[in-house]
Amino acid sequence: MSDFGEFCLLLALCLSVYALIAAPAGALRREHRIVRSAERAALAASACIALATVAMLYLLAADDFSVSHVANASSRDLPLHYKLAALWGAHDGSMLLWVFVTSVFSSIVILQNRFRHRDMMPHVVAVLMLNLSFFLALNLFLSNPFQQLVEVAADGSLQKFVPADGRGLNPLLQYWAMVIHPPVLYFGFIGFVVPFAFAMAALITRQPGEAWIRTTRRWSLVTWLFLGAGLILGAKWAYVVLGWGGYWAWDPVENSSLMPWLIGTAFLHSVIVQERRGMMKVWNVFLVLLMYLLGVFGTFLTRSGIVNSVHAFADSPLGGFFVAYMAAVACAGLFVILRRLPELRSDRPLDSFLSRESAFLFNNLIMVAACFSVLWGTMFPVLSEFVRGTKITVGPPYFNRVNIPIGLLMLLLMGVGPLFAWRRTSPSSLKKAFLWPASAAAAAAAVVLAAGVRNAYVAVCFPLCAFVAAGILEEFYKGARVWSRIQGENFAVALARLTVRNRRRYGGYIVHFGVVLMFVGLAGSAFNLEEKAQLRRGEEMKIGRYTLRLTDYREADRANYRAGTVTLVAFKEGGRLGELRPERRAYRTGEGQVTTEVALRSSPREDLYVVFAGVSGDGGAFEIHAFVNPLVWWLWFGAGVLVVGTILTLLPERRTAALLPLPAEAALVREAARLR
Amino acid sequence: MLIAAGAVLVILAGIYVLAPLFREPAGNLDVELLAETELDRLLQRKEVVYRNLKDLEMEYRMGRLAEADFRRLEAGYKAEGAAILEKLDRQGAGEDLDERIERAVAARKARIFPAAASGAQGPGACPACGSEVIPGKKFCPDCGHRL
Repeated sequence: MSDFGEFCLLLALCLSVYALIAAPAGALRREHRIVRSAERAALAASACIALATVAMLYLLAADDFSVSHVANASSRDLPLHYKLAALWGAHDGSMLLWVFVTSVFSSIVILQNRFRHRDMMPHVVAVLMLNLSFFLALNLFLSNPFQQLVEVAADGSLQKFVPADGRGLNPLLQYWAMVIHPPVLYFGFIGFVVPFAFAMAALITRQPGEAWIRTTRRWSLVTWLFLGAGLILGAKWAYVVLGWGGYWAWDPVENSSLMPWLIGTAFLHSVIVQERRGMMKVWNVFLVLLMYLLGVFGTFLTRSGIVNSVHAFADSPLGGFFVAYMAAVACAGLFVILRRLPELRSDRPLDSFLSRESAFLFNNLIMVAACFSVLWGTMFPVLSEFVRGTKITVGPPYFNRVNIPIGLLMLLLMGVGPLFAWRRTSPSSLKKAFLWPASAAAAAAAVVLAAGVRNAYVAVCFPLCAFVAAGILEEFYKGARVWSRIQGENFAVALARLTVRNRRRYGGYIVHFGVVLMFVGLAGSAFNLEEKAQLRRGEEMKIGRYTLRLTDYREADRANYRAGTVTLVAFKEGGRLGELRPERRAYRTGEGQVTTEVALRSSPREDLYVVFAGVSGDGGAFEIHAFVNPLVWWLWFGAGVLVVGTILTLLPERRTAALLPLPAEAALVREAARLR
Repeated sequence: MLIAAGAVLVILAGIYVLAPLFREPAGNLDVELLAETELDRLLQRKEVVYRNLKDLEMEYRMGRLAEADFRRLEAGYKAEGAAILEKLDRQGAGEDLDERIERAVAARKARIFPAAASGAQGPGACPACGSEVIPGKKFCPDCGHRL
């Protein structure tokens, strides 16, 4: 079975290289049949990769430990769903998943455009297949998941080696969010190849208008959504499984998915400017190129070996190939952009500084600045080693010092931007637009100061959140009022109709609202409390408004680990809250790794988060780490709101979704007649 | 067993991939015909101007724009839209859709079968009745005379 899987991958590589060559050749010779053949080759390659993936899943389910990936990532005592999830439990298999997802995306694009964009498709197929071929080749030659284990026999010859059991899935990964987190993140990393392919095809075929943007808007949004969901799932996993009390540590791997997400956010905004005003065309193709490269870079950081050490990438055999590929794609992309520069000129200049266009421009600059500050911090250890010979790691203090102000600026622009009109806004209009949001911000500032908040960032963040939220609520309220006045419907119906009829606009506002809620959650971390104590049975510890009394300790054998559980009774301001049971698990497979199961009591106001960190030498005292994390609940809730808003903008919109039944065409015809 | 499965896979993939080369006619990727035309771009820009106008009106009615701003911006968009409508008129957007399709088909045929097109020399006349015939047609649409 492993030979069959390997053969499928090899065949897929041959097919994708054929498609990579045949598609542009067909365009060059104006032979549509060659292009069709190339597209079929791409589809056949996908089928082969799917077969290889099924073969790997079969090997995992069948506990065939003669295959290196199965031996590395699975073990006999794992439940079946974790055995299958072990496909992405180690490096080689996760590359196979990566290739599989890439091929599925490529196939969807080809099938969607069987009869559309026939002039662009040869180039789209070429870019998609270049991407697929590269990763297939890496998968096949440098990190082959189907490799058989061998050992050196007594006579010096190599012979097949089948271990009795596998090394098991890393216990830290045995958590529901971790099972779906990698595939979701991969969708996000890979999806940006589609807008990139269309952008390149549009430039090559000299159609740098808005066609490629309309075609890829959904792809960009879906990809952005997956990347964001992947980030949040990763944060949730870190919070619940890693047991250090937080959800974000500016780890290189976290950063690697944050960067393309930031650039994707910038892109989603700047394309609006191109659609509406025909500006920022060069910027948009540049962002698409950057988005794709950062997606590849993210894969590279995540998949270049030991996750926590950035240093590992220099030693990994993959490193050089990744760097060469990214350099080649960057050069080719920039070359195409430069060649078409004259056709990418803006339709018109920026009218005024006080306009929505310029707000979008600032938002873009800030997103890109945030991305590069993260990139700088992530790559600093590597750069410092390269330049000075010593590895200097920059920790969370650097990232927080740089990115909190940038984040607050972003929040400010998110509130201010929608208040400006396109083209030019006069001070009197601005006064009208700013009235409510500014009042809300002032009120919030008064409350925050009266509550005695000393942290400057928090004192700025909450009023800004109020500013943005007030602007959004006002938008919905006034829009619905106008709608109900014109259509004669009651307010609630008008509000629903307004939102559903103008999905892109109001979906966007819902996304913004989700972001505001997430900022509330993030700001809460300024008030985190942390206590550590060694408790014996019957002893108590205090944290914030809570008292914890340790009552019991038990050990139990489970399927693939031994669990030690303490029982703590929690009291809030004297009243009994309930029991908490944090757990420590010692896994039998692997290197006897120990994990903690956090006991969590979550509410919108604050989370009570208790970790069982260890047992004292005599076995009578138990190390307890307790945290009180205010407002974290809002982070997850805001993320949910963001997802709902994004899905709303993704739903198909009627072409002429009229905000109002305006006689716009008639007015224009009159105007045209007057001008003549 | 493995070799047989591999061979079957290679043969299936080969047939599937190479079939279009033998089944489809040669050389019919008309890039010029497929590419976005000036007309397409104008129609799209018209849509955008309409959307901008509608959003502007909405924002004004919601009380987020001063009257003077609204009038000025509205005039700007209207002028933009009027210019597009004028260009569209010149592009012949008003003409019958059937006529446009007919012309595009004729142009494409002329490229694929240059011999037939050069023989007919543009929209020629029927030798029997004198009415206009489309190049590449086998019979006159009016009298049925064989061309």
